[in-house]
Amino acid sequence: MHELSICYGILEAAMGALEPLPRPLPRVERVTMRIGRLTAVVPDTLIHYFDLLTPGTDLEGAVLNIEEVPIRGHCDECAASFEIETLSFTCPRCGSGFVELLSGRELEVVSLDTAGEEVPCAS
Amino acid sequence: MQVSVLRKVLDANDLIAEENRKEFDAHGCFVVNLMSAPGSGKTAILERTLRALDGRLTAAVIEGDVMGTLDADRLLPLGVPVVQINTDPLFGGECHLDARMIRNALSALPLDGVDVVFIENVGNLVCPAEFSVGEDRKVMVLSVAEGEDKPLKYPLMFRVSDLLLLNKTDLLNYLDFDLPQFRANAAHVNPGLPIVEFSARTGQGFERWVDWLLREVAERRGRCGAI
Repeated sequence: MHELSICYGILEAAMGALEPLPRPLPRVERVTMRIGRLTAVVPDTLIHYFDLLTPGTDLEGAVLNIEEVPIRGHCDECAASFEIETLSFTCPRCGSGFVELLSGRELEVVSLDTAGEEVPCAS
Repeated sequence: MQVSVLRKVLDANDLIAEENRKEFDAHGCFVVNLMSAPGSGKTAILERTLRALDGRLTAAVIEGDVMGTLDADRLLPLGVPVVQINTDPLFGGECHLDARMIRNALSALPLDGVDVVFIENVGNLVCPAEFSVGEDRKVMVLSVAEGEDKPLKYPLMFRVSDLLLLNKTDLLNYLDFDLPQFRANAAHVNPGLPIVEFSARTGQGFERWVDWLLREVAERRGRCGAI
């Protein structure tokens, strides 16, 4: 439901990374992001907004590529690490409730793929 | 060629949330982000809470709604400063409050002498959980009429909340709500989540809720060194 504002954030992050690059800018073919499975974001809706918002920008024609990140936990008591698939945040080994999230809440732009020549790293 | 970006999409929001937090800290305010689905009783809880706190703590309220000032109008007679945020009166609007909206609201809300700020989020069990606004604690409300399965359907909000007010317990006799099952479901998602059985109508659970607020405010004062 808030994918539109998230999408503006994606555009901001991606265009910010393009800023230091020499002109003319290379064409961006793909924007890759990681989305944790525990985030309240619908990937298809994001892609829809991305396609609506990018024409006329430096990201025109780019495809939004979404990598899903599983929810992983770490048990503070027995030190087990495990994937959380059933949304039960208790440790499957010892039953403890003291479980820290290792991943699953990611919402980040990872990289841009550009066409043609090599471009300098925009870190 | 690949350009590395590695930027969190919510960085901009989190940065402003951090600024808000500093602003609240500078005034020694304890801030509660109150979240729930529409109709679970947030405003009724605030009405009763503000009355209960009268003379004990000085409160202020930021009301978030897609449209209108109905909630702010309800709270104004209580003599507490209230700012209403409309997330977008033209197009149906955002489904949550973000840090920028709170920052804008702060210009209209004097914080001097305020002990506790309640931010009533837009009614929604999904999106508000994702956006920090600079609060100290996230408190969620679930009314028993919504069903015991909600922690399993909307895990993020249950996971990120620090306290849950299980509201409308005065209706339990009329509903099929399975309380032990609800507690088990909530414990699956957030085993450390304290649950207060609560009724804004009868006052059940209020003592525990007000005690929690008083304790948190005292702790906040200790942390900030405010008087």
